[in-house]
Amino acid sequence: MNKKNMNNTGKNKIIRWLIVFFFTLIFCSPSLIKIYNLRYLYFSKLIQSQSISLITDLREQKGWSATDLDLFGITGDGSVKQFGFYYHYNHPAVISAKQMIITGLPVKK
Amino acid sequence: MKPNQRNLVLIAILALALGLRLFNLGAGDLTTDEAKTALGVAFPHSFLLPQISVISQKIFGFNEMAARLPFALLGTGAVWLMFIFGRLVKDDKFGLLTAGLLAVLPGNVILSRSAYLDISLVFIWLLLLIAWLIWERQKSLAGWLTLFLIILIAPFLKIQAVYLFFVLFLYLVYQRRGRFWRDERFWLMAVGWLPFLFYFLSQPQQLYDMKSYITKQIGDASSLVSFLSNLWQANGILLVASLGGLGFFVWRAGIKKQVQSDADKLMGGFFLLIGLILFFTPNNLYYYVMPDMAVVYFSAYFITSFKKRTRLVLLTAVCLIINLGLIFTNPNINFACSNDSLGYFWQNNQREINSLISNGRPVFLDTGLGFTGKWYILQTTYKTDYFVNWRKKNPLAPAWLVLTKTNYEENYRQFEVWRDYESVKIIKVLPALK
Repeated sequence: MNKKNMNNTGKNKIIRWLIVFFFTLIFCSPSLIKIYNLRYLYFSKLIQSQSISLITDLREQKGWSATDLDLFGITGDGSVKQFGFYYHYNHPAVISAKQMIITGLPVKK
Repeated sequence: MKPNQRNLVLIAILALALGLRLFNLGAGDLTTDEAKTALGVAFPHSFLLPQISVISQKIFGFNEMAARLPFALLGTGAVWLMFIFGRLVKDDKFGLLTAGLLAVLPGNVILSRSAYLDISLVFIWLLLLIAWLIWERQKSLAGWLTLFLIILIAPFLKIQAVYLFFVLFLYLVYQRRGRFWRDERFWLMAVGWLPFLFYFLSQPQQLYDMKSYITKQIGDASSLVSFLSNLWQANGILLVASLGGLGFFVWRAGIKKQVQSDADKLMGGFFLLIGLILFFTPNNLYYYVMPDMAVVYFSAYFITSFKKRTRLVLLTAVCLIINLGLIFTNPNINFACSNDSLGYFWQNNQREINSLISNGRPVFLDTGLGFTGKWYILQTTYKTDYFVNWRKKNPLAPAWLVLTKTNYEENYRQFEVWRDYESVKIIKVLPALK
């Protein structure tokens, strides 16, 4: 059996794919956790529009450079939700990351 | 060709490439897009790359040269990758020829010299193609993992990297006679997409930015007339050469039945892709379709089709002279050719801005951040370049830059007011911390 065929045996194939799935899971997991934290966003159009308007408002309030806004989580029971944001100013000389929680308007179901 | 001889020629080519990309690199202010990169702002289509400019500035100081340096190096790296790709598909000589042509290709040199992220696209595409072909030939575990990691990371660096996935898919369809799902690489691409897909789903603000970005890129419905006019306006020589390459491929594959090499098939798919993108994004085509490597590939193919050595050398020399001439008459490279110090973003818009100012109306400039910059320029200045020079001499005189959020709609609102002329050179402005 030459070298080329050895690499195509079933066992090698399984090992290759196990490595692939392992790395994919590692790379996906932060996003999956964040998707879970933002889960309300994907089921309600009202929460979607509320978060988009909050993003645009925050950009206006926090200034031109605060473009890297990050909506990291939506929490709260019932109709009132809290939107958690990270934002930071972009400049190579400045590291300025801040966090703020905004309580949204009541959402009618 | 002896290895020593080959290495010497390669080093000479890389030195030429590096010299062309580093010469006078800090000259000229950063354009709006360059400034965004220099500030490390995440683009809607690229998340990790601007950070390399930030790191470079932390090491070499906050200036234009340091902001552009990583991209000049990436451009030089692309020349080296082009050599590897050429050697992989044919031989050493072909590799050297392709590397030499890429080193002096005017479009590529100009792009490498700016802090635009687009140059990385050529780099990523070449990296992906090389990993793809190496896995096909060697089938080693290391090759498999390399290919997988490149597929995984490429879309994060520049979202347009996914265009090459389409080319690779076409290649699989062509190679496997339609049974593409039997190739492991098809499933590898599908799985490699997942982290990027989930990342995007977890970023509502990125989705929002992307929506306005795509609206801007695609614009109105395509027609053949708009396609042709944009083809002519955008980046003539490169695109015409690319479409010529598609004709060349069709002629070789369909009529002469000569297409055998893997690279031919890949490049055929590449040209088809370019045609499609040209048709569907008529507003801003050259932005997406940097077909440098494809142009270089077919130029090299064309040149080497001449069997006589004298003709081959003559043709290469003519290519070299024309390209170097184009490079050194370009105002962005040879700074002495430029009349003002504002970069070509301003030069392109100069006529329009002047007419607007003479009418006493505010000037709107796209900042590329999802909102438009609204500029009130004093009547006494009349020209934007004069404005900047005047402002340097009169730093305390009132002048206003009002950025308004529009998202390409009419109903803009006031965004922020800055009183500093240095907003033009955004890199030098420290944001007011709130």
